[in-house]
Amino acid sequence: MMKISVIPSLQTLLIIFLASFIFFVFIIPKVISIFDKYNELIVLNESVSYIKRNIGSIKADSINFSKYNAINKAIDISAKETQSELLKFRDNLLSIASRLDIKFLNEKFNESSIQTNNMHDIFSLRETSFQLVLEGGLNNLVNFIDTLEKYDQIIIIRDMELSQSNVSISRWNLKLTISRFSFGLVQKDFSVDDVDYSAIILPSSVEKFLLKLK
Amino acid sequence: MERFHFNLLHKTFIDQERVKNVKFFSLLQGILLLLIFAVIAVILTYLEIFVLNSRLDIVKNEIKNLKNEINSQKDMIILKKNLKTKMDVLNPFVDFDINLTKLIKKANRLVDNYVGDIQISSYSRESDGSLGVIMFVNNIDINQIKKILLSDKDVKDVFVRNVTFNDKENKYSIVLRIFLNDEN
Repeated sequence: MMKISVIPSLQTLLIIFLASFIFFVFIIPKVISIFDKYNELIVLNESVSYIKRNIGSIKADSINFSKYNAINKAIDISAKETQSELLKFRDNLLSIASRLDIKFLNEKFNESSIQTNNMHDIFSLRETSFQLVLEGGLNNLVNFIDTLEKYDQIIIIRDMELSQSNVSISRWNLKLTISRFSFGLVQKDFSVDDVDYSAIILPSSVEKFLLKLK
Repeated sequence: MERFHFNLLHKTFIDQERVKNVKFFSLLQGILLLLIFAVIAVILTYLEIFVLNSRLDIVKNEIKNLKNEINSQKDMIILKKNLKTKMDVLNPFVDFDINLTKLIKKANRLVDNYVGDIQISSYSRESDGSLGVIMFVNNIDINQIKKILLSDKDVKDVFVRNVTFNDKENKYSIVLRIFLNDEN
C-alpha cells in the first residue's frame, strides 16, 4: 500500500502562509482597530450628551444673564482695591457719624490678604478690618449700623456691642468691628469647553447679600 | 451466502487515486479558508470604513458644532464662572451678616409691649449669629417675653441664657439670644 507523504507540499505551505498573512496582517489589526473605534465612539457619544446637557443648562439660565451681570458689576464697583477707595470709605464713615451726631472715640484699621486654595490664582481677596468705638444716642447708633448694613460696598459687621454709657443714661457706646472686602482681579483665561455649567451653583446667601448693595 | 468482491484494478493505482483525492480536497479546503479569511477581511474593512468611520465623522462633526454653540455662549459661561469664584470667596464672610438693625428693632418691641418695667442695657452680636440682649425687669415673665418676640414671624428662636436677681436694685437681669429666620 502506498503511503501518503506527511511532508506538506509547496501548495499547502503557500496556503498556510497566505492564510496566516491575511489573519495576522489584515484581520487581527482590523478587529483591534474596530474595537478601538467603537470605544472612541462610545466616549464621543458621552461627550455629545454632556455638551448637549451643558448647552441646555446655559440656555435655560440665559434669562439670568442681566442679573449676573448686575451682581458682577456690583462686586467690581463695590470691591475696588485702591488706597484712595479705602480712605474714601473711612472719610464716609466719619461723615455719616458726624451727620448722626455720633462721636468717634477710637478707630483702628488693618489690612490682611485672604487666599483660598483653589481661587487664589484667579482672585486675591483683601480684607480691611476697622475697629471703631463710638458714642451717641441709641437711635443714632442704630441708624449708623443700618447705614453700614446698606452701604454700597462689601462690608460685613463682624462684631458689635452696643451698651449704655456709664456717663449718662441717654448716651450709648458702640464697639464695632467691620470688614471691608476688595478683590485684586487677576482673571485667567480658561477654556469654556471644559466648564460643567450645571455644576456652577451660585451661593444664594451671597447673591442675596450682593443684591442688597444696590 | 457469502459474496466475494473482486477488485481487478492494480493496488498501486488505487492508492495513487486516494492520494490525489486527498491532495485535491486539502487544496480545496485551503483555498476555501483563504477565501473565508479574505471575505472576513473585506467585511471588517467595510465595517470600519463605511460604518464606524462615517459614524465617528458624524459624531466628531456634531461635537464641533456643539462646541461652536458653547463658544457662542462664552460670555455667559465666563461671567457665571467668575461670579461663582468671587461669591465662593465671599461666602464664609457673608454668613456674618445677620441683619443687626432688624434684630435690634425686634428686641425693642419688648420695651413697647412688655407689661411691666423693662430696660435694655446692651445689645451684642454673638458668634452663633444671634443678637445678645441684656435687660432689666422688675417682674419677671419669661413666657411673656418669648411670646412678644416670637409673635413676630421674622424671629426664629429666642433663648434665655441667664437670669440673675440683683437684690440691691430689686431687679432681674435677663440675658437673651434672639435668632432671625434664615430668609432675613
